Amino acid sequence: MGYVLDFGAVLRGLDNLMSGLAVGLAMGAAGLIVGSVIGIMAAFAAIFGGKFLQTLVRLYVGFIRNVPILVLALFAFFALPQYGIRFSNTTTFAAVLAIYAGAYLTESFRAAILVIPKGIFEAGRSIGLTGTGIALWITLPIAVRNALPSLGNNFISLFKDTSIAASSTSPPAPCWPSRYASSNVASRNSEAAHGEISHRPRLRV
Amino acid sequence: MEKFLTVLDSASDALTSGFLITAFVSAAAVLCGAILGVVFGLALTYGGRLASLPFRIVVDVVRGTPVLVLILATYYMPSGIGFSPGPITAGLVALTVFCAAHVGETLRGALRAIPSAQTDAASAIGLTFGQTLSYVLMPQAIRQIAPNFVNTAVEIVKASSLLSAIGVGELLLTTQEVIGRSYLTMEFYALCGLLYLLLNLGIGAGGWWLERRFRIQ
Repeated sequence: MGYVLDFGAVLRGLDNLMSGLAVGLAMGAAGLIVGSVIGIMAAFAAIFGGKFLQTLVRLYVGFIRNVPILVLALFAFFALPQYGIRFSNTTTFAAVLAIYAGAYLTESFRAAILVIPKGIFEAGRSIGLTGTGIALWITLPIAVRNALPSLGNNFISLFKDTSIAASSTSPPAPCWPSRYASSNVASRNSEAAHGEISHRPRLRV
Repeated sequence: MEKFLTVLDSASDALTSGFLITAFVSAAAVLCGAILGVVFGLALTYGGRLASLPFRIVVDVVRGTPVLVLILATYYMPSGIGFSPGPITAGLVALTVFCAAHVGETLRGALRAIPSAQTDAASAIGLTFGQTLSYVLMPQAIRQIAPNFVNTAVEIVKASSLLSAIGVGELLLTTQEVIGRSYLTMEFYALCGLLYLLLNLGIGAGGWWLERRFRIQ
């Protein structure tokens, strides 16, 4: 034993931790909002679009859901800038979250649209709505309402995924463990106290 | 492209071992997690209020914190009491507990969803609790949670990429080492993503096959 818990270090760093928490929440919220837009469009394309659009959506969802978000984030942080695509750290990570969430939300919205009873569309047509009108004034509001519970779950998992920003901003280096193992001892306490900010990355998001 | 092939040739051994470590760690975590998850699920369903409480707390804490935090915590926190697990051990423990929490929660839901008349019928023909569980409830519950379990397995493979943060030489860390030497960032991250994609599509296909194989006609 002989290890003394010192939560004073946590309290002293509380402001810093809280601002990190705010950044995490903001990135999660931005990811959810933009991801929802992507998800709605992709879901409409998958259901009402032609063969080409359907294949495109299936590839997008299949690819994103099966690749770790850390790989996607590292790709966006270190590979894309070589081709001149470079944004601020926060924007880049929020964009990665949005694309990641978009794939999961596509499935949620697809399910939400598919459970809408056919009779409602027929009712829309009988009062003279066009195809776009039905999509905009009937399908969309009902689908969003149906998808609300899964939006909540998605936000929780997105917020958890923002912790990955901490490791994706470190440059690719084989010396990770030694760097982290030597980090200050009090980090163990703050880690226990706080689920969100676990250690201090070299570059802050 | 030529440079990529040259580097790939010299790094193929390292990448293969990284891929194998990813596959091994994920498989071990999914296997141990499934077994521990069944214990969790049973304790949550039949444990009563008091006995299920510690399991409830573990499941909620694990499901409510990011995997990365879980991994870092299992790696760094034990050293506070003078015990330092190696990165692979710590990562394996973290992923196993993560898997077990998810399996336990879905198994609880599946067991709850089976009508209680079946349990009554089982005790009416004289089956013990163990027999009811193994002949009546579990066969149905396992079929019920199978699609979810495949998803969890895919999540575990993806989460194993986070073990690079504590220095496990799995696929992502190996890729980063190769990139650190060759600066072929785009090419090797793309290759890394492709390998994860193939592994996970394989799991998905295997799960689909098993589900079809054991479906009740």
